[in-house]
Amino acid sequence: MRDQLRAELLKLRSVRTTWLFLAVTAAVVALAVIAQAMTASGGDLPPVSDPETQLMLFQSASGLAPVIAVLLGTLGLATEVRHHTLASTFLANPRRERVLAAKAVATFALGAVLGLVAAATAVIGSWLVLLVTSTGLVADTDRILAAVAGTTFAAALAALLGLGIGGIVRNQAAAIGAALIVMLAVEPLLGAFVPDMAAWLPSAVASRIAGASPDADPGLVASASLYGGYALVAMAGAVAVVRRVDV
Amino acid sequence: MTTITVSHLTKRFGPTLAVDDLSFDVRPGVVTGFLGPNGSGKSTTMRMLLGLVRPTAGRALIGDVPYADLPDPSGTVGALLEADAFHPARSGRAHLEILAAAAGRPRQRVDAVLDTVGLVAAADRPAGGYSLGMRQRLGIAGALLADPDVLILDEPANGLDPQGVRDLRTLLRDRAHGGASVLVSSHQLAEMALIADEVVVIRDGALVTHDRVGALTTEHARALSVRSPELVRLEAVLRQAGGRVHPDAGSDRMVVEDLDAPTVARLALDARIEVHELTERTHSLEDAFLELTAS
Repeated sequence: MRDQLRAELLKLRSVRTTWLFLAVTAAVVALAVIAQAMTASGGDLPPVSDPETQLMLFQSASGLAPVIAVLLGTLGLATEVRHHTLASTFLANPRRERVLAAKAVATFALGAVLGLVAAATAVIGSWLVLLVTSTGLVADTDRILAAVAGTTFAAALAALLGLGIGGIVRNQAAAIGAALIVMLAVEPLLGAFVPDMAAWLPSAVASRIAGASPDADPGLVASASLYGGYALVAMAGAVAVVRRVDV
Repeated sequence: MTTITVSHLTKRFGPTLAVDDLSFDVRPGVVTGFLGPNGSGKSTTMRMLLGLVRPTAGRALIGDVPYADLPDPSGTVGALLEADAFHPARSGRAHLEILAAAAGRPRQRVDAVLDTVGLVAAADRPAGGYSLGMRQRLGIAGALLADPDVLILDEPANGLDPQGVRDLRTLLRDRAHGGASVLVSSHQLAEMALIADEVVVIRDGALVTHDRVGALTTEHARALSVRSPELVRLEAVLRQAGGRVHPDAGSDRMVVEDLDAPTVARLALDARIEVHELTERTHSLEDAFLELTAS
């Protein structure tokens, strides 16, 4: 299991895709900060001197990081299927559930790194906005720190959820497509037609963990448990499929 | 010393019977060739041996256990299944380092196997840019990484240049002489004749024959080439003895089937007919293979 984990971490480090994902995440979050700041200066939001607006700036990564982490997570297994490396992975370690456990640990860690990069970009970007506009920090620093920690944790779970989806679907393009359809179409539609459910859907609880809406229901612990549950269900599905499949 | 045992192995993919009640074994010290036309079930059999494909029935054992139950699978069996099984953006070295990590082997083994297969110069380039021959070398390097007792290689000679084939032959022979069990599939029959000691021939997933390469080529060498100044008389004698005779028009030569060389010699002697040449036309492994797998 330790050898397999080392191999999984090496796999992630040795391809450009991993670094590209982190760079794109930072870029997208930076753009989100700029967009929020411009909206505020255009008068559509309270000005940057408002504590709530400042908090929104600092939380720019909260919604984005889990979405990108899900996509990155799907690659964990789907890439191996695409490049026919799953056979050599299972030859070194025929206990497939152990391979998936090692992948889960590596993917969780990678998701956390992605979440941290996203949250750090949001903090640095927001701080630069305050600097440029000569505005003092009035937002609640505890809530900023909570957003950093929450975004990191939510992205880690999101990557795990993606790994599970990739294991069930196995085709790389189909896995990314399925994840995007669920997050961008199924969840919003479901939320619109069954408003009572909206807050309990994966993307909503992920944003909740990431610190986007502190006073909403479900609470932080409930959200974390629920999102962890979604990730575990996806991983259990992946284990069931991958254990049986001919490679 | 680890024997590979395939026993009543069967695999169905939906309505297709890919492997049909196949039994054979691969002994240590012997290079066993695995022959069959495309789609005859060779790769599926190898994947069942390696625990990658679940058999519908029967057993595939490495030593006495299924692959998945081996205490050190990588250290017991080295396998090459596809030449293209790597991430194209990774260097050959990074690919092998991942395999070494998963197998719990030190990084120094990567340098050793890169050297064995002659891939040191290209080791740090992305493997996606390798030629087919280099990809095969990378795959063979991966199979050798944990210095296994058993080698299972699917079409390893495919895409290798003549020097590469020679190196592969030496490598497999050395391994076998060192006590390894070697199963190597191929459709390059001429090379197989040089590499393998024994061959397992399958068709439509079922065993056709398992024999020594030499036995296979002589067993299917029933034709004789005969030269004589008294061809017409000899032809009559041989026909009477049950031989099938095909005279080569305009020459003093004919081809004789269904009689062996000593019989023809004795018949000619008894009839006091001069014979200038009596040669067994040795079939190549290719002839034997085509004969055996003709449906």
